[in-house]
Amino acid sequence: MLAEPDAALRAALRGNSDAFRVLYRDMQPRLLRYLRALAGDDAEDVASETWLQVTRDLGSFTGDYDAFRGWITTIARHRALDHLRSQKRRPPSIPVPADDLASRSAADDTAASAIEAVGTDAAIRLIAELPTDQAEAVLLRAVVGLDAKTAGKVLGKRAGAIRSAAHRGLRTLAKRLEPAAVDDERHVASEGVTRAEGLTLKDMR
Amino acid sequence: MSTRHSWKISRNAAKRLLDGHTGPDSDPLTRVLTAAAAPARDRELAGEQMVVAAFEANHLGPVVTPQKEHKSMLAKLLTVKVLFTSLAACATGGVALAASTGALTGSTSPHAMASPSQPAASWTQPAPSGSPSSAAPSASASNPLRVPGGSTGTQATSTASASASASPTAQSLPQGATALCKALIGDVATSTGVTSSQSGELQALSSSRLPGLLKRPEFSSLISITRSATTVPDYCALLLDLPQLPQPSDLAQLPSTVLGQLLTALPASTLSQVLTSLPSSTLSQVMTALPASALSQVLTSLPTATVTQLLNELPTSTLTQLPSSVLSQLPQSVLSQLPTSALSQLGL
Repeated sequence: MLAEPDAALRAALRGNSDAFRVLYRDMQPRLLRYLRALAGDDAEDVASETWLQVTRDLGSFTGDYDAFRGWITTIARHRALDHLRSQKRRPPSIPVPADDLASRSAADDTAASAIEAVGTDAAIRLIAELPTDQAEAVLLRAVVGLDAKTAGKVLGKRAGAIRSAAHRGLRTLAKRLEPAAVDDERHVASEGVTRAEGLTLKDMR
Repeated sequence: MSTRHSWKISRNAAKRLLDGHTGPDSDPLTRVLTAAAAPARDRELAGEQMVVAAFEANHLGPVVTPQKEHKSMLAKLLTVKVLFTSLAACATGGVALAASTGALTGSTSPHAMASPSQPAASWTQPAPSGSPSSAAPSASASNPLRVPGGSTGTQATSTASASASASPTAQSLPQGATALCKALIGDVATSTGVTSSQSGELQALSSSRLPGLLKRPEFSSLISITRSATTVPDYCALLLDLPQLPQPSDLAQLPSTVLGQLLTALPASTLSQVLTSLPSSTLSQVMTALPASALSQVLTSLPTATVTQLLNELPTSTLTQLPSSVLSQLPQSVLSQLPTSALSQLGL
């Protein structure tokens, strides 16, 4: 990560809306994909609520861009948990129910679709099907782009716990993907599966 | 990493993958992680205008020196004019045209998307930013109703009249508006202690605290949409599918395009409840204010009995103002209930 995002953040903190727009474009897709795992179809609403709170509270934020990403992700997570609480769908301590996502038995199909088209939605769905702590750790690290320490702060855990949860998550994912790879190649990717962008995480930074 | 036993990932390999140093494209795990972190899709940024407007409402103002700002504003306005003229030339529908007109009169921000001097553009995700062509979808998707934060009354009016010519069937309810309504309800709830149930939401929208909270800058874009603070409660109620309106008699004060978009987006059952509970004078105003296509959509989505009931509440003078193209689409069973004087005036 270069110094530029920090410059954009500083400009946004001074009230520059172009700079704020840059922050939005970087973080919104990441947050939305993380929130998809927490709040399902309500992810867009929760993301909007998150940004409204950010615009309101930005004046009280201090720190660099990495800290900003941790801060906004924490807000997003709190908004998601509030949302779930108000929906009374489930106790807040278990934020990702299997019902809200594709059912667990469908994991193999999702894996097959994901590996075929590797659409973003399918990939997120696949990660969201992991046990909650693994799913959150993988999403915060690989999609939101936080380091283990910052991800730990968001989830109220130690960096070591995040590392091992993410590690386990990747192993589970790989295991789920493996049989599909050698199995049936003709699983057709379903609706939400979009074009693979062919860009790596590195390109996003 | 071999394809065969790739789930035996070492801790170091996991860290590298999570940090974005992905392996070969043939590796399924790499492909999933890469797809999960792929660049933004346009629809993921659909709320951008609303969020930036909220930011501007909160943060613009004291920061810039007036002289310099004036100059750069002028430069920006020229940029945006060029951009939106070319956009309008490409646009096929009235909505896009209206959206760009609205942005021209009111906004200081949409051009930032296409401005070559956009700060730090090099590290943004490549897909939706930068090019003027990508500015088009988000401008038209979120904009027909929007006037940005610090707009004046005249700007709001000009936007409203610009979009009045747009097709009301373009169902682009602004995405961020729902969140703003919820935030507003949340603020009222916090200050009054009402619950977050459906009746609690209605109670919050009717609360005497609401007008005061609405004055906060983050809600200014909401008022821009509804054109006045008094219509915000009804607007939010309809946006959140609440079956009752806090101030039914104020409903007709909403801009007609906004009204059309709200009513045509409602589920039929809610729509029935809302319309049948309106005072008949308001119902008259609403029916005559709705653009023909919205009215037609509303009437055809309601059960016949409800349509009959609604039309019977209207005085003949109002009935004759409704477009005959819409009325002639109604089933005979509805038409036969109408007073003959109305029918003869309609030439039916």
